[in-house]
Amino acid sequence: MASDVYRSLRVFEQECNGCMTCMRSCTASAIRMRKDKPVVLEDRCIDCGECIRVCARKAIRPKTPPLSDLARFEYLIASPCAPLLVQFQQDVGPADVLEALLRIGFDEVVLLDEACEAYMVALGRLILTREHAAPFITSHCPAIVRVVQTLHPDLVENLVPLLSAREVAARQARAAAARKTGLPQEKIGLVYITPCPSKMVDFQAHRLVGGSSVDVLMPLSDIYHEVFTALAAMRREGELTREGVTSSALAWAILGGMSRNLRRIVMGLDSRLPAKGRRRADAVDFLPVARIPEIRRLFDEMEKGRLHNVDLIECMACPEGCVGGSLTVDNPYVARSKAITLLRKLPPPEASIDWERAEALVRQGALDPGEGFMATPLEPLDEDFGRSVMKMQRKEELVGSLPGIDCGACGSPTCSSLAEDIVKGTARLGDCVVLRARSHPALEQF
Amino acid sequence: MSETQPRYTRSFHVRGKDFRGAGSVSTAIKAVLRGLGFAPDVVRRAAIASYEAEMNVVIYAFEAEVTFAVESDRVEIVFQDRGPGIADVNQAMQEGFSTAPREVREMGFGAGMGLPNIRRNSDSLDITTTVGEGTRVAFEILTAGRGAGGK
Repeated sequence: MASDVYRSLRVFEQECNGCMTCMRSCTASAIRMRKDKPVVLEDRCIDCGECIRVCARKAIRPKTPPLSDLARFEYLIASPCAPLLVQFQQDVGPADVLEALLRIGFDEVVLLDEACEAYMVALGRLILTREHAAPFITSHCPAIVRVVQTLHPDLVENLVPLLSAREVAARQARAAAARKTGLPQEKIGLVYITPCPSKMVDFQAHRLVGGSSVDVLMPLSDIYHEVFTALAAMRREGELTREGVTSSALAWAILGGMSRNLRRIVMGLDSRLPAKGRRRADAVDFLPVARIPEIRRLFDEMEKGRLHNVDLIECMACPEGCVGGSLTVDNPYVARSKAITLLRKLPPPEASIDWERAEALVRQGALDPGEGFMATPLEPLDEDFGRSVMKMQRKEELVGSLPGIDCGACGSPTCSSLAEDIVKGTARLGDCVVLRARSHPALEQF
Repeated sequence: MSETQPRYTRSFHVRGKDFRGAGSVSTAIKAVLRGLGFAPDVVRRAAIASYEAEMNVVIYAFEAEVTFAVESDRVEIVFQDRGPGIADVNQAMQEGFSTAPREVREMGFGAGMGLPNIRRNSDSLDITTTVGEGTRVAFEILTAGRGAGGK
């Protein structure tokens, strides 16, 4: 079927009725309507997946790898995101989901808990020994990283400088599988089952030295039915165990879960680090915030030099955290409540963590972020300073003469973005339907 | 004579006691500087310094006119307020010195870091004040050109 392909998504034009909901909901003002169909400005898109979430006709969908992609591997490792563990009925435990993945054909399932624990140890150390005043911004949500890099580039230094637990776990699993099977690397396939499109770009266009260890990104919604069917068979055969697994990765899937666990790890670190010249573990403070508009308002405050009392902002682009990812199936609040019920029963991270193993991973540089995060600010209005000044002043004049009702009918999400599109030469003042209607002679008699 | 430098200018009005609106000048300045292609560090310093100046107006003065001007090598921001003036500018420049009323401090503002923070985030700061009439706070941020590669 014909579709326009972008960084992490496709637009299926025949299924789109031009309702503009995606354009209005876009958290980065990256969508324009052209001939009544959405066009994505790739330099602005942050891959958050909000357009996929809000499209009632499902005309915007994630870029999905063809399943034939998996045929080239002889040994398949599934790396399920934690939200997958809480997508099913109440009688399904996380251990049952893992078993279902094996039944549908994966040779091995890798969990992110160990990597999450090592990550929290590394991050806890950074927080307890930090010298700069501004808070860290979590970097495990790739949409947040993009927001910072493109829209708040002066905050890149605040991003947590660690490799994501997804990638750390993938590297470890891949190396272990190669040792176990004796297969060459290209025959081992690591499939990350993702709750959102942002991770696709994270794995594809990566700054990682040596590239990503993940081979295929599989949308959770694409694999849901197969897992669901396997679980139904297990239920019929009385094989559901309702067992949990460890809790660290699951906690990260809900807003505030990482902060909760990190606090416990930091308290544990308190007795393992020399007390001199560092912060006290009971004095650290974390702030969980979800959804990009809210997060951007908070970043705006940070840029004014506020928010010194917080050590870490736990930022999640989706409602309630990754359980609200646009490629998940269950309602985010239902999934969150299931996760909370499970977390209450499962051992907390300070009970499950293997401190020696976690600290060894940190020491070996397993969480070293490679080149780290670079600022990639949006292009200025013009390459030439003098011309960019003229365009900026012209844009402000235009904003003054446009109706200011942000109707979107011109194809730009707001009057201000239309003004910017006009000075950049990608739209005309005549695109404004309100101005056209006001000046239309046939309307004057009314 | 060389040609006149390209120069962007804009003005804002700030009302005293308008805590809800406080910060909007800083946000607008930030958006303009990003659109003109300045380096993140320039944007950050201008945002912090203008926010502190804005808060000073909101806390202490009746109102202020703000003029904001940008050339390729400098950002100039002037806050001219109508207000009580500053009795002792040197004292006001001390970190932690504040004449903010108690209710303002209880809200977490007026900690005596306003002017010191403007000085820290600018390359020049000029304060002229007349008690009972008002204060003019003018500061400048040098941009060292427009940042690498026009970004």
